[in-house]
Amino acid sequence: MHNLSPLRVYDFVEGRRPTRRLTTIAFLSAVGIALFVLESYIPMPLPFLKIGLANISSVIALMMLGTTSMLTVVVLRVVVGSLFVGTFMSPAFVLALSAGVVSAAVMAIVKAISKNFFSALGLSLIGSITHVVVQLLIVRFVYVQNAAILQLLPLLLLTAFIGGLIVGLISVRLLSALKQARI
Amino acid sequence: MKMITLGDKILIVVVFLCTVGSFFAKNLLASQGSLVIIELKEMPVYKGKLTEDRKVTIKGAYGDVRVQIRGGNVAVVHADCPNKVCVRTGWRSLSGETIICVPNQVIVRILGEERNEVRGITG
Amino acid sequence: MNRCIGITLSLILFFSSCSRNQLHRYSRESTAMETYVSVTIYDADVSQERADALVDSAFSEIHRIENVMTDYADTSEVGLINVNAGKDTMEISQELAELLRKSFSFSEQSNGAFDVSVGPIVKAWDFLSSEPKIPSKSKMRMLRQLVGYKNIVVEGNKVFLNAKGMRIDLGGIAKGYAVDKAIEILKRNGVKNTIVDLGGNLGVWWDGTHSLDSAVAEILVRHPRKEGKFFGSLNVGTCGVSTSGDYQRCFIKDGVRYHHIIDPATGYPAKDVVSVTIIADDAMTADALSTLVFVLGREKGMEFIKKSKGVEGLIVWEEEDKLSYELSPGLQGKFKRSDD
Repeated sequence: MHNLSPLRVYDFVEGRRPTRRLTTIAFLSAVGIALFVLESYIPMPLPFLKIGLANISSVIALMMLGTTSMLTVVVLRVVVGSLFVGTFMSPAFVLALSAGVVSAAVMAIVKAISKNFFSALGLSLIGSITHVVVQLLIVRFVYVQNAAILQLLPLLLLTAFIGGLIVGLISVRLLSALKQARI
Repeated sequence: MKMITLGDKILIVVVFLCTVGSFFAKNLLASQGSLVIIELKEMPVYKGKLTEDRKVTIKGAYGDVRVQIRGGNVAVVHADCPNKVCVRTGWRSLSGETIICVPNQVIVRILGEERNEVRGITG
Repeated sequence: MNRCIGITLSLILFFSSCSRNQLHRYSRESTAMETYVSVTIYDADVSQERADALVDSAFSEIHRIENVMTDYADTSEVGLINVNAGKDTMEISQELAELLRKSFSFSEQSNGAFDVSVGPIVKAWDFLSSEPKIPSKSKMRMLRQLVGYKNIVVEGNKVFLNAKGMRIDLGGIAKGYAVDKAIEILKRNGVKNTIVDLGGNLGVWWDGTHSLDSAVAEILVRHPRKEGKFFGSLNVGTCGVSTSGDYQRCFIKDGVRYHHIIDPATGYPAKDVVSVTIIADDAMTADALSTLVFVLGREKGMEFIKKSKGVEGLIVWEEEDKLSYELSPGLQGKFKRSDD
């Protein structure tokens, strides 16, 4: 019988309630998938220009639960999300998964190394830029044997910059709201 | 950890500058252009930019092979060789293209970024 | 710290598992049949030695065909036929006999717009010399008598040219044929992806693709008037592509352009169009049809393309120094006009 006491951020970080941890991971993944699917309905001039709202759940997972949880959320989100959207096992899926994992890892490493130098905002920005750069590199070296594809870099960087800011700002607000909720 | 830090602000500025910078870098790279390399008996004897107008004369087995680089194009304008296929090839400008004088063992190559692309030129 | 190492390791693992077959490009250039030739093979893992050997075999085949078909040497099969015009019946290879028969088929389909007996006229114009000249009207009248594919008699492996002075010129079909044969050799040796370029006559072979249904190779079409620049591009899979243009072998005298694509009916360069690019199932067809359609002109040429199976084309003409073009139905939406 589980004791349904109120959700406290404190509890997760301390690892005191492993089941809660699991359910939160599931919850955040679900949120990520929902955001991912919703975002696919927003019309964009070019198919690969995304704001990346689903990353909000990844960032929150990182800040609240830690690296392994975040990686789990990212993988779950990309895999299940692609099943919903119908891109499972397609090149887009491979790109999303690789870039997602790498950018998540980079965010985790930066957070571990720099302690509190960056907030969720800075980390989101790092994550979004890494995501876009990794995607471009993979496309360049694996799919399209043509350097002309690099012409897209400035535009992609701009989208990543804006997307990272949006995701970061939302994440920061959410995190402080969650923190306040414990009080 | 939950408030916007100084690190964030510095990062925002840096990333913004890089993004803006990448727009300029892209334009700069585009006008860099390709290289012209002339080989005699498979050894490079001239290397220069396609954007630099020049006249180069190579001495091959049959005689002179005169190469001209002008306005982003390159051509063999004169050659002492029996068939003059090289001269009749005309002007070339795309990276990957070559003009070749077999008797004189001279190859004019245009080198650029695209190394592995699948492409053919007709006309 | 352990966590960071763990992350980095999984990153490396992830990247290495993402590797896909990168196609490498092996290419060699040379000259053949009075023009440049390049053989390119695309393969994920073939050694340089093997690639060299494959390219060697392709070049040998092209040179072999050159030695059979060239009319610049009296010792080639074609040369011998020409030397013995009006005199002797010559015995020829099955290969040449079949090529002649295919040429006649193109002649019949086009009512003589394509004609390999146009040799005497082409020789009189002498486009490759440093001083090409315009044949006089009386000379032209006499030369026209010698033109007519029906005067080439082919029975089995025997050929006879009916009149002295007749000449066979395979310039409108031999290069495409050579490209097809070179690709055949490469295919027989296991090559799955290749592009052979003989003076702008292209043969694209990409396993599992077909013509305009696929987009593996980018084909650039040269600009007929701006040297070094391009008119447009299209993407194809396995097919043959060829272009006939009035700028390829020509000279300008008194402001008039004289080029090498002769209208067999008049003996003079065909005037209606400036450049014709044909995409067909093989390079030989593309080569022959690009000449054929050029001679037919804008209207009849496009008609011919439309009624030919597996053939698409681009016709470019000039009106008061401005270029206009028309695409066959199958090329609509697939040709990208450059802003060169």
